[in-house]
Amino acid sequence: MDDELKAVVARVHAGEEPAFDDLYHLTVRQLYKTLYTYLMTREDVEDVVQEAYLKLYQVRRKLDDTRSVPVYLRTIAINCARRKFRRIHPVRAPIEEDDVSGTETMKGVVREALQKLSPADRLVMGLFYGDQTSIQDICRMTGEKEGTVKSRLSRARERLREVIDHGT
Amino acid sequence: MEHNDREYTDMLNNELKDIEPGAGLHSKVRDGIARNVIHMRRRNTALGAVVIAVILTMGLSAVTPVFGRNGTLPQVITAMAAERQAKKISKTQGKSPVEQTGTALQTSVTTVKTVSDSALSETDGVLALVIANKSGTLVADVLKLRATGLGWGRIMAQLNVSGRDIGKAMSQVKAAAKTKGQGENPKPAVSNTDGNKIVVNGEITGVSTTLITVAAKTFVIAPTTQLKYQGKAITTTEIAAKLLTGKFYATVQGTKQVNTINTTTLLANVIIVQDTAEQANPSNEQANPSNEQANPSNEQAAVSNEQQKRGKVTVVTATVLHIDGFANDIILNADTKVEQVGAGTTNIAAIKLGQTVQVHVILSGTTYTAQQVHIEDAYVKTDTTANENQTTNSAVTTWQGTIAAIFPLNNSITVTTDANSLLVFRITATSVLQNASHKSFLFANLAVDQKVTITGTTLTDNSVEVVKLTTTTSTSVNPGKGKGKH
Repeated sequence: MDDELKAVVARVHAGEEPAFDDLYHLTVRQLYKTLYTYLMTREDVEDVVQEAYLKLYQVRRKLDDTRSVPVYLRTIAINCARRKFRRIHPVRAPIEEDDVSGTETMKGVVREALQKLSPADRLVMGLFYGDQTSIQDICRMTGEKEGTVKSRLSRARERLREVIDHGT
Repeated sequence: MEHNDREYTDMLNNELKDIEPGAGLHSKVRDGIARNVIHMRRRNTALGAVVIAVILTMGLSAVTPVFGRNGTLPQVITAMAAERQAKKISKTQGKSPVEQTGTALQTSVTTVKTVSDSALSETDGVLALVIANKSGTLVADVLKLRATGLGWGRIMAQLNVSGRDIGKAMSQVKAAAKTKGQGENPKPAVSNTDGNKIVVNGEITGVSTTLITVAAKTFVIAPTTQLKYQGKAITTTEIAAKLLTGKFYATVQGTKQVNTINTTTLLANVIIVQDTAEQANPSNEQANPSNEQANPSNEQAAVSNEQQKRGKVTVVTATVLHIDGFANDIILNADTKVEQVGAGTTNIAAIKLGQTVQVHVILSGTTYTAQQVHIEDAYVKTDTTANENQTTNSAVTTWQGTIAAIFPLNNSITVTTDANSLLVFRITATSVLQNASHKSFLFANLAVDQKVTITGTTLTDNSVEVVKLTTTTSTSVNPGKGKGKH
């Protein structure tokens, strides 16, 4: 994967137009899941994905570090998602079920538990456990301090465990 | 905290396993990118056009006055810098920045007045003075250019004044303001060369029977010089005696006299002696090319009281007029305009005892100065050899000598006679001027060093009213200059 990504990034950097499609296909699946844990609606996720890849396209000639490209892409995407989230939910509060009416509601205990987490905690959970992203990279992407990220993870785990164990 | 917390990883992956990007997302992303590419291309085209237009305009403006009357871009930039400096000066100078600038640049009071009287703002006034000063141009010409709508930058370019020149002048003004702020009196403003009239106020530092020094300027006291103290005549001996008791001040109205070797002497026309410096403004000179302004000083003009007096002439000399119904002396000087019914513009010599005159006087301090005398009695032509002036001696005398100096402002000349005495001769409207071939010529044709034969009558002030002047050497000189080609 890393070698393949490295080669694609090199082609994108060289100005090869189809290479950007390859880059998209290599990165979009993971990005989609990460954004979903934060926004929790497909419509919003697709809007953010479009915006993030457009921004990446605008700076494609400057991409030269394969290690930083996925991190960079997710950083862009998270910032776009935050803006989107602020537009949808001007008052920052954990999303209640009513708040996501008309959207695809998760089924099952884990999904219910995730919905009861705050979006920021959900995002950190998704990045850490879903994307296998390191704490340092999460800090870079979210702009938060390491202690904050760890607190969010701890809180998310506790809440998830509570819901799974006791169903509340 | 590590990623090997498999329980949570599996839990999350399991729940999100059916969350996959839709098939249409890629085409949406591509469409978005394509739209953006088109948008960027259009934006770049538009920006490029704007940039090219700006560059072309800038390039063109450097050589062509694309800013209309403001001139080229460098001229506009220079003007902006100059205006900024002038504005700064205006702010720092506080009261009357134009006058202070004039003083610092040693500009004549007339010039400053011209600017003050114009419709220019104080900032523009300061700039006009500086440009005129640096270009050696009359400020009136600068104002004319400005009135045509030209920007300062273009005016500066036209008059060959650089931004550096303006900067230097502004520094000079600032330095002068600083000096003044330290309580030092500014040096007397030295008049420029555009006029012959001079007015100086200040302390009397020396006096003799023929010379007086006021504010470091020495004036020649001629027989015609009027000396006044508290409205009455005073002699040089009395002034000298007063000086022994303490400081005395004076306002001197004089005339610059340039002789053939280009040295300038100052001839005092009126000396007004004062006890205190209150009435004597800071030393100030004025060069006034025009005879229209009878009032010697701008500052005095500001407080002067103009009046119109009418009456019969009871006393008249070359420098003083008395009319019935008005108790004060009215001073006549070179700037006094005299008009007579039937003769038009004439001179002081035309004022006779008993005539009814209307006098426009200006009160300055305690001195009434005649700006204009209108003689209501019609002019009657008399025999040129007849003695018209009842105040003069009746004898008509003939002198021979050489012209020593010419004073166009009061139509008089000084002649070194063959008996080696210097006499003042006044040419009047009735004086006959002839050359050796008995052809008439104008006063302007007279030249220094010409040998002349003059018949005339001696006035009470010992000057001679010319009846007939005949040159015994060539008078065929270039009018006005005296050394022109034939």
